[in-house]
Amino acid sequence: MTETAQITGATVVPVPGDDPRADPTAIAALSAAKPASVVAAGAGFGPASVLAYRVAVAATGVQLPGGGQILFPGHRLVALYGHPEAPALGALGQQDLSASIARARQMAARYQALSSVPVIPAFEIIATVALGFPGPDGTYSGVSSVASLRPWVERATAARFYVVLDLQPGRASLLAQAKMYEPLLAMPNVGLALDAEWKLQPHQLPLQQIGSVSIREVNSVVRWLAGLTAELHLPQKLLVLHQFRLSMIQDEQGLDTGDADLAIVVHMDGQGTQGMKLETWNAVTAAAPRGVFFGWKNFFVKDHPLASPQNTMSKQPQPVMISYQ
Amino acid sequence: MRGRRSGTFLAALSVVAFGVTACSGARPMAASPAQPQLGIPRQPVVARTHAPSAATVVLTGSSDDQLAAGVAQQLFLSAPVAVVSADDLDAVNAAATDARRLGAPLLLTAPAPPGSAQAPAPPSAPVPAAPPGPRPSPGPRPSPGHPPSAKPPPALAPPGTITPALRTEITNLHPRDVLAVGLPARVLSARLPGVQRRLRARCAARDGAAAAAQPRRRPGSAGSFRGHGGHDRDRADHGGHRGARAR
Repeated sequence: MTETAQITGATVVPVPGDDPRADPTAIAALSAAKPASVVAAGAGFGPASVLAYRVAVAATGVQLPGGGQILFPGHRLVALYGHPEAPALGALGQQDLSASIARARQMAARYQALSSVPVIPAFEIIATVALGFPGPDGTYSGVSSVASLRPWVERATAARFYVVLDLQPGRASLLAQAKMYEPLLAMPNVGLALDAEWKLQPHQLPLQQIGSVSIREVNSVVRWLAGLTAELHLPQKLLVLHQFRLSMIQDEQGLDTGDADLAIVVHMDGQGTQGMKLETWNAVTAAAPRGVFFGWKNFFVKDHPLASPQNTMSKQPQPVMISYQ
Repeated sequence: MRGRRSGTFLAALSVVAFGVTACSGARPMAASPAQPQLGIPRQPVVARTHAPSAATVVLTGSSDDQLAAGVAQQLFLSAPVAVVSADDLDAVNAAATDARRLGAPLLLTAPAPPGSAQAPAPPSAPVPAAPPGPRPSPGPRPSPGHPPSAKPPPALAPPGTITPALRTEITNLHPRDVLAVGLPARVLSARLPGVQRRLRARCAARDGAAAAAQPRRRPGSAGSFRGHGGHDRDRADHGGHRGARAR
């Protein structure tokens, strides 16, 4: 078959799997070829319209840190979580940018020997921070400007990091806040996280309850983010849903997991003893809809004891994203 | 597809994608580099390619022979030579080399039906040389009216099945010559409606591939069916090289 194609002048691109976006070599070949037309041999490639889109994405040549255009299960993220200007909010902001890059790299390196796939260092930056007061717009959510975050995102990008922008929306709409960061989310290595703990209903005040979000609101973000990713022909984009109580994501089974442009991670945020955390993990993973991946957070201060990388990686299903706060 | 049905190889074949960069329309192709040999005129052999039927085509055939026919159909408008390989890994490898040399589409037979007897054919075994000059085949010949669906006796079953899809694709390519690799030429000829079966022995000194690339022959001469690692018995009968001409 390959001979027949090559004889006509075609470029033959072997694809180990059904999706050319998953293979760095295929991406490079398609990017170089910029094909006007494609003939694929094998029903596994799916409908022509699906393959056409995937080839168009692959032909951009843009790859995720660690290679390829599909996040999971071919990569594992190890992230520092926090806000650049607020050391109290997590490990990310407890040192300057250069030191944060070095620290995240060290954390990721501890996992590489335990991982069968590349471990990518990451920043999870709290882009909108829950406030104990209404703030200028009355949403109880402090918005960091794109300009203020850009240096961190760009330095992380240059360091081959993945970056996640976390939203603690207060009374604001998650979709409205997500759209504010479109200039950063248009980058191929930048994803989004929804922190339902800090989502307030109109009558609620901060720190008086654990927040929650409707699946309808989550799905509105899913659709918008997937649409942005498709429109820009970006590699698959990460959407993280933080959760440590089932009630935090209402009607979770209604989560739209059908768009292959997004990799959705349900990220278990429980803190405390390892026994408590494992109980939360088991509940969260059991209740999650099909088609999602799972993440785990370790708290430097609030976990007793802090789980080792070996212990963290022993969880089943094995977490594809591990954060340190 | 004996020897090619292992999971690894099948998986590899099932996921090959072809990014076509040069099929914006029909274009001539270069002749085989073997063409100038043996006093064959330097007349170019031209295969005509065409753009696929759509910008993105997914061939959904469930077997390699179907996919191979599909690729040829999508990319070739016509070809003066088509290479047909037996359902055998080594035959396919040899046929692929021939196809590259000839600039010809490579087609595959389907797996032989279960239970059909197949003589083992050491793929690397050399094709026995026939004496120079035309030599009539001593073996039984299929009649021109031999129906395509007729099955040979089990002991003579070919290492692969010539499916209607394969026959159709060969016909659609309008080849003047069909190079058979790992197949008894007689059986292939018998199952190709639209191919004028005029078997005769071919000079062994003439390279089968070069002969197949010959652009035009005198009336009454033959294209080539080339036995390439096929049945021992067939080789014994036919001397390894066979000629036939496609209409």
